[in-house]
Amino acid sequence: MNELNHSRHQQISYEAALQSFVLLRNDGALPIEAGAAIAVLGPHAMSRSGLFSDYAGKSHCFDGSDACVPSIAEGLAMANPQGRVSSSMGVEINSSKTEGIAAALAAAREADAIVLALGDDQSVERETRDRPDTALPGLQTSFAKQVLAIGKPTVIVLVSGGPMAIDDLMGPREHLAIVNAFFPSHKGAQALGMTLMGRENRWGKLPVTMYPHNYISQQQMTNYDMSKAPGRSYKYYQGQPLFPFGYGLSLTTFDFHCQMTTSASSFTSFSCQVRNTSSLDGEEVFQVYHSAINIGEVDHPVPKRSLRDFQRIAVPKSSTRSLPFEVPHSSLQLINKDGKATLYPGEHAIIISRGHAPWHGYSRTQRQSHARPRG
Amino acid sequence: MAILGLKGKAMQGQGVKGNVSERDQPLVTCAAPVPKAFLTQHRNGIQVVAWDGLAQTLSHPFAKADEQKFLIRIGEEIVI
Repeated sequence: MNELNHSRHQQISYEAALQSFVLLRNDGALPIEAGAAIAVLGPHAMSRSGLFSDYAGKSHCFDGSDACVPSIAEGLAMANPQGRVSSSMGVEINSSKTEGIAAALAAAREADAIVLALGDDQSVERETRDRPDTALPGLQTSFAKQVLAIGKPTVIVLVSGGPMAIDDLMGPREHLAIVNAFFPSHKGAQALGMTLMGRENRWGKLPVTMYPHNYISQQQMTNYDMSKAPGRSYKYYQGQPLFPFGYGLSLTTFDFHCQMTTSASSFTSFSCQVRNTSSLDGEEVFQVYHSAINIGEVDHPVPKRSLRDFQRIAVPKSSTRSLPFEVPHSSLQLINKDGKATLYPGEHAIIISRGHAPWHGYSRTQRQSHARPRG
Repeated sequence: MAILGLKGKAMQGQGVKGNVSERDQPLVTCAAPVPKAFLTQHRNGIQVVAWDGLAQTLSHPFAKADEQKFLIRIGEEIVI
């Protein structure tokens, strides 16, 4: 490599951030109206180093600091040049200090819209430091409740590595949006600003299951058996997650219809027609899951569903695009108790999902006693 | 009821079963796509899509706006 921090590299960072944000909820708070007065609050409102995971290294600017990395407040200011953006932390990531809360609430009352940047950073989770709790650390939850009580349109932005248990912020409420930004990195704040203002609409899907807070008392961290009750991940979790793996909304509305187009001995192909029914260009990520729904009795755990493929598609407003999928029948295999991939005769469901179903467990009866012989 | 089973002929004619591992290979033995006219039937609101031999797909279009499910049956004679 003979170029550092080239504009091409910055563009990759920007594109990656755009496609990684996950819109978990939007009850009318997004997009923020251009020219609005926005109060950016919370411990990540002005953070720079806190936008990186510990795998990103340190000192991301040529001067050895992170001063060149835009904060979320600065990213919103760049994306909302006709508006006004104020910022105030209110509370720190993980402390009991309350001194900043009054100023932050005052800023919230004066704003048209609030962006509440919550989460954690490397002081809470990093290599060699596991979180003992999945709740928002410190006073963040109580601070967020105070901000929400003001009643202004509010966008909660979660900045973290691991999923956060935000049960207390999930209740019915108008004009609330929740965005999971993870650690958005160098160009993440600019990408987030453009996205929250509706100038970009290229969301991603959850790469994790967001469990309710009581999950940490139901499951031992040292238990690596994925299927043991209450189960781990979208494949085996038996409870109702806050948001499931693969979930994610858009500012755009899509219709889609898929049909089988080809059958062969080794694969089945599908073609989906995806229609953008809104007046905003957008991208959607379609996912293909396999679920073995009737394969007789087996002597090993059977996942509820398994992701086999996904594709992102850009569909301009009021347009339709075709999206093909080819599902090799080998992808319908399960791993047996000996660790061998096995294709069981019986009924296998192929589920093509756009990840909007809030709860997409696939109902079926799983029997486990003894292996069904093949042939 | 349309009986689509070609199990014995397909298996013997293509030699599929004899050539594959009992453990990790598909039992699907259909070789060629079925003519389109043969692909769909509508019964009780369920689109039934089937193809030659030993596999079938049941489609539930728009049953749920966010997901569409297709059923692939492997290794069994098809009776619709």
